[in-house]
Amino acid sequence: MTGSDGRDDEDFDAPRARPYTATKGRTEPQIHLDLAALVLNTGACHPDTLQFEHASALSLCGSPVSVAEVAARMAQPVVVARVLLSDLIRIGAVSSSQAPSDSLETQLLERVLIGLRNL
Amino acid sequence: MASVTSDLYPDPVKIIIAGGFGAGKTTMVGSISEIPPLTTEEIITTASEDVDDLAGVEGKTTTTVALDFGRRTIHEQNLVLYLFGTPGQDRFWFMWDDLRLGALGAVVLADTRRLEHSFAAVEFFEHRGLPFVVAINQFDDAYRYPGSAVRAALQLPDHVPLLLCDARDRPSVTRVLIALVEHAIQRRIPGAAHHDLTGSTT
Repeated sequence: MTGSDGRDDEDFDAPRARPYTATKGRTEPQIHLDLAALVLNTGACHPDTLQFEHASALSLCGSPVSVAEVAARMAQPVVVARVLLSDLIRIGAVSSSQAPSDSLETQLLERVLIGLRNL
Repeated sequence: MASVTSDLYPDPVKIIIAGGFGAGKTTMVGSISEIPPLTTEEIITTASEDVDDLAGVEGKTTTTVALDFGRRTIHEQNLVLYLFGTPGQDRFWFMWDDLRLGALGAVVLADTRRLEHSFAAVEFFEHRGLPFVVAINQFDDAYRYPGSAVRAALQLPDHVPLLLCDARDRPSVTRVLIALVEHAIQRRIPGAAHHDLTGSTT
């Protein structure tokens, strides 16, 4: 199909750096982290004691930040950020929020509604 | 898992902005976001059938999907909204369960010049039971069709809200999001026929 604006989706297939180098080939995080789960540096681990990729992920977690944001700011696929953050959680360097639950509480929806109306 | 005090973290809320290529999704994300929209991507593994599973990796295909997203913190309610814009005509995001699971709902942004580009998203959310609204992005040079014509063209069920918006305009985008949340809440009221949760605060 040719859209009138051309086709900008082509570059998704472009060759790219091997994404799993940063995780030493691991593709499965040990802890499931939602895209929008928030993570935060606990201060328990000094970055110097970590490998470069872990330290660079940790450096992005100074305030609550989503997994998606860590991935974007590291210019890595989400799965890579997940593996690194899951490692950091396991050693206590990072804590994580509850993931958005599969069935959102009505009370949460009402808070969103009030918040949006007051924007 | 160690419990975490709720005041340490705001509650994250995921909202999906879907629609056809060029419908203004990234513009919409940018209008509401407090940060310039970020881009990230995910590697999706899809199982392909009828291939022998020799070593646990064969028989699977990986594909990369990109998405733009923005963030909006609502301090007053200790919330942080994440708006994820799905890529143009790439349909692989349909396989990205993590994008959909736990999401509050979705906005299907439509362009009346290319309504057919919105079919896939409408069908997907309808099928998956995720609350969604359709927002017609009012491009300056687009003919203004009546809502009923758009609804008919999209085969949109009556219960799905249809709105007009300007994706560049923050108040307009906010109204779309409000309509989505109201719709999501109304769906939880059994047998409810509420059409007016939109009243201004008293």
